[in-house]
Amino acid sequence: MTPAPKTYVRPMNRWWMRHPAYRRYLLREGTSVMVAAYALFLLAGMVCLVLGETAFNLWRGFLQSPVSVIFHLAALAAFAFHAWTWFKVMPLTTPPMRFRGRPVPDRMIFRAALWAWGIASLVLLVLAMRFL
Amino acid sequence: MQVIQSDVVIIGGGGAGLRAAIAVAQEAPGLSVALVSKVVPMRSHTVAAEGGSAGVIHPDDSLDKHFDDTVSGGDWLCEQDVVEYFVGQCTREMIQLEQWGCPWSRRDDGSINVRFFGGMKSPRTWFAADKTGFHILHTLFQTSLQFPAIQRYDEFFCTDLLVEDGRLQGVLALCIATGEPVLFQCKAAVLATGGASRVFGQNTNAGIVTGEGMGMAYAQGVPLRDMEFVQWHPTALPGSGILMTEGCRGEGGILLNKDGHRYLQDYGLGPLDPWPRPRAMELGPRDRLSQAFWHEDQAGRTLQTPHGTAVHLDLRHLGEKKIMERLPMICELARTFAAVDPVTAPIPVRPAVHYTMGGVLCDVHGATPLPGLYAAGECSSVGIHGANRLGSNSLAELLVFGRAAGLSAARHARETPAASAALQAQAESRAAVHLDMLRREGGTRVARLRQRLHEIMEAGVGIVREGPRMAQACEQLAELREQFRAGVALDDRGRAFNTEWLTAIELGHTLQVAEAMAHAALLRQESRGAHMRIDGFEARDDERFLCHSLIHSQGDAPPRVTHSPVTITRSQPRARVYGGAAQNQS
Amino acid sequence: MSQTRTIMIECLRYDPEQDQAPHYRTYEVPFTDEMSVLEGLQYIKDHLDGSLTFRWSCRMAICGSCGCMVNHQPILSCQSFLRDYYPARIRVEPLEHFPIVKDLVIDQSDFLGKLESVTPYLVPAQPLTPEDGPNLQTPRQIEDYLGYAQCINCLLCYAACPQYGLNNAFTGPAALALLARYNADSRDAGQKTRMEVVNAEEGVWGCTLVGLCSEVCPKHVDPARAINRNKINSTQDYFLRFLAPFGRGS
Repeated sequence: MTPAPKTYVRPMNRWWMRHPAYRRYLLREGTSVMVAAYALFLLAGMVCLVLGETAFNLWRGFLQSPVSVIFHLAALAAFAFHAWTWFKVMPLTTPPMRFRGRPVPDRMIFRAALWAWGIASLVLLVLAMRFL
Repeated sequence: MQVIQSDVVIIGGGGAGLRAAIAVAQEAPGLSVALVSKVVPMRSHTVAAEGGSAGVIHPDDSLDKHFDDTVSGGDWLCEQDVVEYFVGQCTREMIQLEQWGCPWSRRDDGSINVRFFGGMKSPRTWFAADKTGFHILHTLFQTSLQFPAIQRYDEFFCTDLLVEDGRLQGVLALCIATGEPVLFQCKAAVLATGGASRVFGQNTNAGIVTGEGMGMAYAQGVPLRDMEFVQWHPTALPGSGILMTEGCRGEGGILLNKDGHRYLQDYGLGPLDPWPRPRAMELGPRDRLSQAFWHEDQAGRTLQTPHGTAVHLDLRHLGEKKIMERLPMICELARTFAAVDPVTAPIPVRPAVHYTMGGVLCDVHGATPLPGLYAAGECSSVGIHGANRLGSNSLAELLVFGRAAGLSAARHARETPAASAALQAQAESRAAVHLDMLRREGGTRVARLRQRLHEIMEAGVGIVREGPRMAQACEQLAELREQFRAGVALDDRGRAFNTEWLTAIELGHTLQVAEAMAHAALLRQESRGAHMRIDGFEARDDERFLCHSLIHSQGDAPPRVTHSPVTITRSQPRARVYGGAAQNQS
Repeated sequence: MSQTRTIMIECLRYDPEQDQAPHYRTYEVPFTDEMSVLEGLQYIKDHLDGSLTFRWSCRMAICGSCGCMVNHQPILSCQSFLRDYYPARIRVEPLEHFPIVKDLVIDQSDFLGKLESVTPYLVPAQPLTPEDGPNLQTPRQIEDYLGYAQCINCLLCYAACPQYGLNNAFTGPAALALLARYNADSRDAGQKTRMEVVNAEEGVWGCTLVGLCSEVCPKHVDPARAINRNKINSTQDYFLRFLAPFGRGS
């Protein structure tokens, strides 16, 4: 072959600044950090439970602090956003589906997922109110 | 200079070139193939073909009908033995493409669907919605990737054919990325470089359709045949020239003048009803439709648009569902490039140059008079189009004759000794000429020369032609070639990816091809097919002109034109009629 | 003729024989309403600076040659119109994530290699010849792959994919969509061969679903869908290999 031509390769630094879609993507991925943080928080609760009543009460007490309330609200927002984006991309991952010979439109899958999410949350809430 | 040895070199990576390469790799194993193209194969102009490709498969159809439609469509200037071979091979090639994955449009039962095209007695056009060329090209390209014998040289610009001992032995190319000359030494070459429609301004063709393949062969003494026959497609967008496929009319679309009148009934293509019906009205042949436009325009019955006059192509009555299913790309193109939605409004259209019926002289095997050189596709004149090509015969031609030329070249390569040593010196001296262009001072800009070429051709060798204007065009073209030789001014003096330089080399070939067209046109004192004269030669003259034009290059001097007989096997020339008159005839 | 206005077009320039790094040059281009960005570039080349280098051919959005970045958005220059940017100036750059050969021309050889790697042709269950006649394939069956078969290889999706930019070992959107096209074809029996490409780390798992590839695709091929459906197939394939005691394909 003839010698490869000289080319210029552009650097990728600050690539997320180049398109709003990249920033939305990073935000979406970023919310999973919150998921991890909340898992750690629950783990801490478990550890306290094992350590004994005093420790567990301390942890429960912390739950009612303003810091914890803010943390929970932030976590809820992040979870909701993350779930939303999950449902948004869900149609891309499902195998081709047809209803009465026609392909099922993406928004139907998205809406079905939202409904399932809403109903599951409601059921969970009712159960929690009833038994706790 | 880098030298690459290859048994068969294929110049051009469009439909014909790819089909030829696959034929060699598949049916002549053991030979090496170099596929050299100035663009990556899937960029080739085959990609823009819309409507479809002919092949007899409909129960009402027959090879005889395909033969008759082709020969009468070509106004009896076809090589009838070649047409016979062609129609016999088309369906095989369509099926071959199907088996390679081409997504042909189907009937509900899964069998092949065919549509009507202009000048056809029966539906015969295989189609993949309105992107037939796109799907054919990508299918061929992707299929070609499974053959290791095919070595691709993408973005290598061929500049010269090299002849030694009376036979073709090499091809000189420039690697576009680096500008370095490369010599391909070969035993045979297939020219598959496409047409030359960019000789004209108003144009349906891609920017790469500049005729340099024809120019390269012509410069080596291979005659060009029937170059005066240039096809104007009747339905292109004004200005951009973007094609609105004949499939629009095949599906039932109609043409209206500014008064909303279906004017084609006034030009021997009526009566109006029933519609749609074969070989009548909007399904008449392209030459007749484009000529009818010219008459309407003269009579002032066309619409004014910012880019010249136009008529309306109306699809609205087909309904949104059919338009979106059968003509989705047309919809998109009309919306993007003409700001018209075909579902709700008629599309303004006018004729634009679409196809060069003529080309490098070759026989049914693709062999040119130069031993070792074969040709296929639009750059060739194998003899199936005559004076006017029938829609959907050109895609079929790429496949049928691409394969034939590939196989002939393979056979020749097996019987031929290795290339001569003297070739390299010749290559060096040709390369030096091209490289010298980068150093020359002064001269005319490429864009100026090209603009002038378009003006001359449109004024002198347009849809309708007159002796004095053609003679003037011949003179002006000689001057323009002189101006070109005096020097082309280049802003870009580097070698790497210098498209300005390559365009200048290309233009040298294009100018010669244009000159061949004008001289052949001037000497044909009759009207036949796409060659329409209004200066006392309005009728076909079989006595004097039932013959091909052969144009021979005379270097820097104007070309010499001779005539050669037409092969007639079973269809004697008769009056070429469409519409109601055709039904009376048959 | 519609009214002529003037727009500033800022082009990235890079001459491999002269420059160490790219720079920008601005041109003043008169335009009318129907002029595309490509026609703006052609105006520059014809009248202002013949050395400006870019690829183009069909000028009707089917050959895939003329992709470039306009204001950081990958587009086909032939079907983007100057009127839509005016009065702001526009910045034209070569497609992101590819090495620049010269000006707006990028090196596409990496992509072509990827295209070749996905077995991009029909692998019939048994060999056929034209004498066997055409396969049957219903419009429904065609629908399964026709969307993926619309790809014109314009590379806008690669220019939109930061994963490809960060690690160009990733097979990438267009090539993986083409893989899905052949896998979904009822006439094809080559799925097993292609699974190797799908499963590889640089196969579908190189995708993190940024999703911009599908948004910028001028032909609505939706490569993001093709890739993410294949993630499901790849996962199934992985687990099935554990479940089948003697291993599939071993």
